[in-house]
This record gives sequence, structure tokens and C-alpha cells, in this order.
Amino acid sequence: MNPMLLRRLTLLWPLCLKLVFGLGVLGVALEHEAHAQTILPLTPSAFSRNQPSRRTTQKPFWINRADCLADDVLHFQIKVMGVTDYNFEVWIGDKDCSQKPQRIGSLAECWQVYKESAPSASFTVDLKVRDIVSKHPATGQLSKGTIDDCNDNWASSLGFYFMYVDDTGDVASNNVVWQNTGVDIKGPLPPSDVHVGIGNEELVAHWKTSGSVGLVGYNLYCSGVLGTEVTPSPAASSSAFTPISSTPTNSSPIDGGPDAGNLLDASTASAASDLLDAASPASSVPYTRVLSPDGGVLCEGAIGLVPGQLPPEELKPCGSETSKTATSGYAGGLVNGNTYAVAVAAIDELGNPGELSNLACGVPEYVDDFFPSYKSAGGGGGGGICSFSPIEQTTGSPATKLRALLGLGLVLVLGRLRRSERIRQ
Amino acid sequence: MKVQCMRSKCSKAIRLALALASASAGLIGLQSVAHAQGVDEFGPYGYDHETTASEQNMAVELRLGPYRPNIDEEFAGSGQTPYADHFGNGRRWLLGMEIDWELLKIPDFGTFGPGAGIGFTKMTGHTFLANGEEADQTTKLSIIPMYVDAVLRVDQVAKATPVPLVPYAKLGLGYALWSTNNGVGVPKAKDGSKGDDTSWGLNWSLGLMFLLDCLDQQSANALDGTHGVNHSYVFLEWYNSELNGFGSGNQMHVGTNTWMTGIALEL
Repeated sequence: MNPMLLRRLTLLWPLCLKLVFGLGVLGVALEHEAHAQTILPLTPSAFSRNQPSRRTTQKPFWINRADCLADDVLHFQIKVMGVTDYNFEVWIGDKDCSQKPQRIGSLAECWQVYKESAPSASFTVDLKVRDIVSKHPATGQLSKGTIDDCNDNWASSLGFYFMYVDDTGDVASNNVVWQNTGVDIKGPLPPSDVHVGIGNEELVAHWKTSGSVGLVGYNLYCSGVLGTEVTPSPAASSSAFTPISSTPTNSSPIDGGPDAGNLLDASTASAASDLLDAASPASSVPYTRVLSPDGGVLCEGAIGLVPGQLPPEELKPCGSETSKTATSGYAGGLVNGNTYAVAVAAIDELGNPGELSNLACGVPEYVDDFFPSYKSAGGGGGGGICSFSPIEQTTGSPATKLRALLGLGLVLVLGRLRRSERIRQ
Repeated sequence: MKVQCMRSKCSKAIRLALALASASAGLIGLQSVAHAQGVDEFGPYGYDHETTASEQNMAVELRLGPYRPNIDEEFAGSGQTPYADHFGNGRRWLLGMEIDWELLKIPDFGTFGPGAGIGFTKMTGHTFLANGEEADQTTKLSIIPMYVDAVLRVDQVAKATPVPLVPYAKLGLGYALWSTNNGVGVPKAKDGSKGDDTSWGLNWSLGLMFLLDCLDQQSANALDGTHGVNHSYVFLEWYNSELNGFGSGNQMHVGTNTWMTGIALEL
């Protein structure tokens, strides 16, 4: 190497060292400026909610329609290193919400669900479920986060962006993304061709599956029909419609027509129902009336079950089937002799019921079932697996003595044989 | 094992049964039994089953057979047949298993010891409207028969003669959980009693096991070497469970008299 060059490098060396050190200090300073605060990553243990947790197979972190109706709140335990004066914000979307254009401007697709100024190093972020579902991703419309939003049928996985944001909208910290929670408030498509058969204090519903994606089972909804049988005259029944607030006392089964047998053909009846509904007087109370093939009214009244609509929140299912391949199910807890309407809704893995199927009406009545028939014949069994007989009824009976004798004999024989074998060995 | 069989007599079906027995042993997770000998991809080597067979302590049976509970015998003489009325006379099947501890090895005779078994069967029947027509509601009866018994197996015949058969007898106490269902839940009778309960009584059976080892002794030896299965059998037995509370009169007779078949492994 040239000695002159070497000499110059030797002279420049301290200067280079100072330069490198200076740049390093500047870099650290800039880094410190960009991330004066650091949000620690979120783990599942940092998540909790007001509503009872669902099973792991039911997406426990997700939001279903029941959560929305119950005005559920999601809680996130946040821990921050380096407290700052910036606003702590939570943005939601299926895009990268850390990008400013996704939050501000006409093209923004993320929406804000939380904003708090200068929280402490450890705090809880409470997110209202209705705020989360307030924006429909498909339409981009942002509403006020009311119960009405719970009826918007949509499902989407979402990203929750936790970050500090300065006054200009720039991210002033790292951002932590929570991607375990999504929204699914849309139930599966309803089954079709629902009809019911007669059972004892129950109705047996049959249907054709919709094969909807995500379907895992069915709920059956029942409603006592507030009405009476009417003379099977279409003209008379259409003009005579008046909801009656008492259940019928007639306990005889309703004739479903000569071809109906035990199954009341609801599809035929529903078509006739539509015709009657059009002619009936306007009413603010939802009602349904179903006719038999010969025009007789099978059931009518304000029953709260409207085909094509979601089941009323306050209405508990009267039956359920947990198999997605089920094509029939039982609606129980009914009173023999009363007319009931039954509708079926498919259920998805989050427990969301879909829209109600067509209605089918029937009248449960006493049927000759095996066990009651066995008891009527004088059978002695039954009474419950956990039931027991009083000791005085069994002690000393021949059966008891025989049981004891058999047990004792078995023990003695085994003991004797075992002893013989030992001696032989 | 002195039993000798002509290989030509071995049908493919029985070979398949042996293979099934081998698979069953694998499924129940039996541990290999340590031997000085070994097994490679060509089978066992350095193996004399006469002197190096693994220790034999128990038997496991997988059982299958038709099951028609003797419920209607409770009403013998009265002409009432509630079971047949609702469930008909069709054949239902019971699937079960049994484990026997071969506690005593009786020289030149066989084995004797306690055993326990459990099974399951379920049947669906019809209900009827007041006018006699069949209703849409169905009725179901589930039975879980269990038993503890003493088992005597006379394996000397198979050991000492060319006849690969092992007769056996079982005697013990049977116990069954049973439950009816109307689709919504357990129905109640007019007196309020629930349609589920237990029954118990005498349980016995007589059967004959066919020793599969003789069909392919080398495979049988390998099965012992790899899974500790001393012998494998197919069996046929007459099964009798008198689950009537020893005549107490307050139990549904959910026992039955039937034949059972299946695979048995001695381990």
C-alpha cells in the first residue's frame, strides 16, 4: 500500500470513528422518537367478554348474533412500555388499518371502535360488540351501533389494530394486531318442505335440508296458535279472521285431508295461507294461517313465527337436532289437543339461527308409546336408573339371599382353586 | 403348540380372521413382549414357541350377536306383548366386549378366572294413535348389558389333540342399564314412573372356540412375538341372561337367550 495513503487514513481514522458514532446516536434517537411507547403483543389470555364463553368448536373469540343482541362487550388487557400523550386507538377492518389511507379519507375501509387519550401503562380496552358490527364490510355503511345492526347478515374475519396515533393520524407506536376475532351474525339457509306428524305431547317435524355452508344442526321453534277451527269455507274464513287470545279446547285431531294422513302438508297449506293473508285485514301483529287442502283452517293467529325471518330472540327452541344431516326432529313440551305451528331454522357452528322455514301446523295427541304400554300391561320395571328401593323391601327377600349366596360361592371357589394351584407349584 | 393343521385346509376367510385378530391386538395397544429372539421383515427368527411363548394371563373378546330382549315373557299367559307390538320381531344386534383374567391355569385341563363384559344395543319401534294407526313419533329402547362371571376354558383338547377346539362355560351375574326414549326424552307412564331403569339376574353361556393358530402357526408365533398374543380364536356361544331380578317381579326382562360370535385373543 502507498505510504502516503496509509498516513492519510491514519489521520482520518478518528474522524471516521466520530462520524460512525454520531450516526449511531442519531439513529437511536430517531428510533426512540418513532417508538417512544411499545404495545406488548396480545395473547388469548388477554381476552375476555361479558357473555359466557363458547366451546372451542364454536369459535369462542368470535361474535355471533346472540352476542350482538345481548350487547356483549369484549375486553382486552393492554400493556404498554413508555406512556405517551398520544391517543390510544383501536381500528377494525379486513385491510391493513395501520396504513393511514385505510383510516382517513374517502378510500378508508377501517373503522374506529375505541379512542382514549393517555392511558396508563396497563389498562383494559372495552369494545362494544355493536360498535364492531356497526359497519357492514360489503356496503361500507357505518351505522350507530344499535341493536338493528345485529340483523345485518354478514360474516367476516377481522383484524383489530391496537396503536397510538398522533394528531395527524400517523401511527405513533408499534401496532398490535389481534386476528382471532371475527363477526358471523348470519345463520344458514333454512330447510324447506317442513311438515309435521303427530306425537304424544310433541310433534315430529320433517324437512329437506338446504345444504347451506356452515350448517351444523337445527332448532325447532313452536308457537301455540291463538285461534280456533273455522268452517272450511274460504270465503267465510277469510272474512272471519280475528286473532283470539285463548287456546282451543277441542282436543280432537285436526283432519289434514284424505291424503294428508298424519302429516299435514304445510307447503300446500302455506300457499293457501298466502292467498288468505292478502285478503285479510291489515294488522300490526304478525300472524299466520294455514289451510288444509280442502280449505279448512288448520291454525291461525298471532304466533310470532314468520317464515323467512329470523326467529324472535325471546323465543326458546322447542326442539333441536345436532346433526347437520338430520331431516327430522322432535318439537316437545306441547299440550295434547292444542294446535301448534312449528318452524325450523338451521344453526351454524357459532350457534346463529338462520331464517325460519315455512310453518307447519299440527295437534299433538296421546299415542301408544312402548313404555307406557308396558306399564299399562302390568310391567314391573321402570322408575329411573338412579331410583332405589327402600332397604326393608329387599332385605331378606329370596332374590337378595340368592344374590348373596352366588357372590359368596364365587369368592370361595376362586379362593380354593387359587390355593390348590399354589400348593401344586 | 402341538396342534397341527394342514395348511391346505385353511380357507382365505379364516386367514382373514387371523389377520383381523392381529389388527385387533394392535388396536388395543398391546405392548411387545420381550424375547431373546427377534422379528424382522421376514418374520420371527430363533423362535421356539413351545418354550418361549409369552406369559398368558387374560383373554379379550369382541362380541357380536342378535339381541331380542325377553320383555314379553313378563306377561306370559296374559296374551300381552308390548315389546312385539312396538318393536316387532325383527333382529337387532348387540356389540360388546369381554375381558377375562385367566387367574388359574389348571394343568392338563384349562384356565379358570373372573371376567367382565359389556355390550350395547338399541332398537327403534313404532307408536300408535288412538285409532290404531301408526303415529309419526317413534319409540326407542337402548340396553347396555353388563356382567361379571367366572370363566372356565378347557384348552387341553386343543393342546393335546389335533382338534383345534376349546369348549368353555361362563356363569355369573348380569346387570343392564336400559332406557326408552320418545324423541324428546325419557317418557313417563301414567303412574309417573320414568322409562329407564336397571335389571339384573343370572348370566351364563356355553361356547366353543376355534383356535386360529393352527391355520398359520408361523403367523401365530409372530403375533405372540410382536404383540404378546398367545392364541387367537373365533368363537360361537349360546348366551343366556336372565335379567329378571331373580324373579323379583319389579324389573323389565331385558335379558335374552341368543347366540354370539366374535374374536377372542389370549394374551
